[in-house]
Amino acid sequence: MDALFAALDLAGVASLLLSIVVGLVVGIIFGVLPGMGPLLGIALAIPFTFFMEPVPSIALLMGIYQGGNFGGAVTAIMIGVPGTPMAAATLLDGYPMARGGRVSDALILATLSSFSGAVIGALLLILLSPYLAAAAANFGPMETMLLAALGLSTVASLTGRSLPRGLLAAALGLAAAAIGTDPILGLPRLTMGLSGLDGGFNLVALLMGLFAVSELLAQVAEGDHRKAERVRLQLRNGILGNFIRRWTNWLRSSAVGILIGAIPGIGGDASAYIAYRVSRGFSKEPEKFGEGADDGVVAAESANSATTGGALLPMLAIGIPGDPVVAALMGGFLIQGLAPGPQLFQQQPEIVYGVLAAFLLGAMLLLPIALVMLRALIRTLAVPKPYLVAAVGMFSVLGVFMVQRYMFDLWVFFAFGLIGYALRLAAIPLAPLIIGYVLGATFEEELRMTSLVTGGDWIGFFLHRPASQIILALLVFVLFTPVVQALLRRRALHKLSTSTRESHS
Amino acid sequence: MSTGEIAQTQQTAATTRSQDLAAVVVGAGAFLLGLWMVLDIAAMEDNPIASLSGGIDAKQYPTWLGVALMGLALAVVVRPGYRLVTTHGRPDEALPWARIFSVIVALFLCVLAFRQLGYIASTTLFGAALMTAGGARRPLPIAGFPLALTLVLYWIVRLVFDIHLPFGRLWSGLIGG
Repeated sequence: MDALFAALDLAGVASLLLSIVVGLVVGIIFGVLPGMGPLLGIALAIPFTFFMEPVPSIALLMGIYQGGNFGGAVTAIMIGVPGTPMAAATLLDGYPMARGGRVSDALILATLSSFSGAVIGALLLILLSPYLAAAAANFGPMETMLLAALGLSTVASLTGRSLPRGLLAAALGLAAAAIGTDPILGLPRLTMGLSGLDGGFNLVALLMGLFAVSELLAQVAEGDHRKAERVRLQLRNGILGNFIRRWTNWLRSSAVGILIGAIPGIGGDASAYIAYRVSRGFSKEPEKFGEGADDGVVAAESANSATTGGALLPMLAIGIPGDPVVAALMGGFLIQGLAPGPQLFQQQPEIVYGVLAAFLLGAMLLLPIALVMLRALIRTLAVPKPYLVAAVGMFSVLGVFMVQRYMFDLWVFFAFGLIGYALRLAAIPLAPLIIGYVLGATFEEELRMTSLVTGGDWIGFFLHRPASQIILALLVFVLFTPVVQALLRRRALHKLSTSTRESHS
Repeated sequence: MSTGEIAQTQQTAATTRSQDLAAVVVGAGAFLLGLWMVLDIAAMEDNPIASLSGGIDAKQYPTWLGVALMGLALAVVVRPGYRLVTTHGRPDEALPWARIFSVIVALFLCVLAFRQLGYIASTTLFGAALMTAGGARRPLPIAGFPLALTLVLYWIVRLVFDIHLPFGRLWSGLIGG
C-alpha cells in the first residue's frame, strides 16, 4: 500500500489524472468508430507517450484500452455492428433492445456494466499481480521460453477461419523479430546491409503501418454509409435500482471476465460469450436472452470490461501479453525502457504500483466520463469518413516520425502498411503477426539459453521443473480452447438467428 | 454430395477471386522471404563462439524460421491457387483500386518528400489526398482540414514536446530559414 501511495506522488496526481482522462476519451471514441478500436488507438498514441513520464504514459494507453472496450458497445447497440470484437456479445441483446425502442436503457446498462466490470477487474489485478510476479521471479530460461510459447499459442485463437493463415502471420512476426541483431551474440543478421535494420524494426513504425495504413486503405475502399440518431438518455428503474437488481450478475460476469482474460489467447470476446451463457443459465427468464434481455447486456459488458484487468495480469506479472491489444500496450512499456515481468516488480515497484493505481482510477473514471460522453458518442458515429481517414493518416505519419525522428522508420511504416493491407485482402489476420513480433526475440533468446542450460537433455531437465510442467499443461489447454470458443460462438449465433427467424415469422 | 464436398463448395463460393489472388501473392512473398532467410543465414560465416556453446547455434533458429515460413506459405497458397486456376465465373468484390492506389501513391510521395517539402507541406498534401480518396468533393474542406490539423499538430509537438519537425529543405532554401 505504501508503494501505491508513493507511486501516486511520483507520477504527479494532476498529470496522471489528465493522462487517464485523455486516454479514456480517446479510447471511447476509437471504440465507437467501427473498425478503429482500442488497438489502433493505442498504436497511434504510443509515439506521443514516448516523451511522457512512464506512469502517465502507460496510464494514457491503459485509458485507451479501458475506454475502447466500452466504446465498442455503443456501436453494437446503436447500429448492430460491434465497434470492437469484444462487443459482439453485447450486440446479442443490446441491438434487439435498441430496435425495441430501449436504446437508452441498453446504453446506460452497458455503461454501468462496463464500469463495474472494469473496477472489479482492476481491484483483482492489484491484488493478484504481485503474487504472480513473485512466483515468476524464480523462473529460469525454460519457464520463460514456455511462457513465450504460451503467448505465441494465443495465435491459435486469432487465426480466424484458417489455421495456416494465422500461423503464417505469426511466422512473419517471428521473422520480422529475427531481423536485426542476434540476441545472444549481438551480431547483425538478415539486415541486407542496411544499417537502419541493425536494431530491428521500430515497433511503432511496424504497428502503425500494419494497423493504421491498412485500416485507412480498408476504410477508403469501403465508402461511407453511416448516419446519426437522436436518443434521449434515461434508464428504467434508475441507476440505484439497477445496481440492487443486478449486482450478482455484475459480480459473477466480472469474475468470469477476469478468469478468462488472464489466460493468454482467449480474450474479451470469448469471456463475454461465456459470461453471457452463464448469466442465461442463472436467469429466471432465459428465453428473453437474444431478444433484448437486460441481463444479457449486463453479463457481456461486465465480462469484457473485467477482461482488461485479467489480460493485463500475465503481461504485468510475467511479461506475456495475452491478446494483441495488450501486446501493443506492452510496446508502450518497451519504448519507455520498461520490461514488464517479475523484475519490474522487484526493481521499479513505484512504477508498477503507479500503473496499477492508474488502472483503478481509469476504471472509476470510466463511469462519469462515459455518461457525459454518451450523447456526443452517438453523434460521433456520423463523423464524415474523409475527415476520419485524413486524421488517422496524418496522425500516423507524425507519430512514426516523432519517436526517433528517423526517415528509415517512415519507410518501414510504408512497407508494413502495404504488407498489412495485402494480408487483410488475403483474409490473413494481423494480430498474430504483432504477437509473433513482440514475443519473437524473447522466445529465441530463451530457447537458445534453455538449450545451453540443459546441455541437450531437455526432457530430463523438464521433469525436474514443476513450474515448466504447469506452464506446458496451460499451453496445451490454451491450444484447445479456441475449439470450445468456436463452439460457444456458433451456439450463440444459432440462438440469435433462430430468435430472429421466429420474430420475422 | 458428401459433407466435405458441400463445405468445400460453400467455401469456394464465399471466397472471392481477389482474396484468392491476394493469398497467392502474400504466400509467394512469404515463401521468398523464407527462402532468402535460409540462404542469407547459410551464407553467414560460422561463429567460433556460437559453435563452441553446444546449444542451438546462431544459424539454426533463423533457418528453422525460414523453413517454417516456406512450408506455411505453401500451405496458404495451394488452395487459393487451385481455385484461381479451376474455378471460373465467381462473383468478385469490386474494390475501388483507383482510390486505393491513390492513397498508396500519396503515402509514398509523402514519405519521399518529407525531408524536402517538410512536415507541413507533405502531410497536408497527404491529408488532402486521403480526404479526396475518402469521398470529399468540396475543395475548401479538402485543403482546409488537413492544413489546419497539420499546423495544430506542428505547434503542439513543438510547444509540448519541444520537437522541431522538418520544415523542409526546399522552404528553408527559399526563405533562408
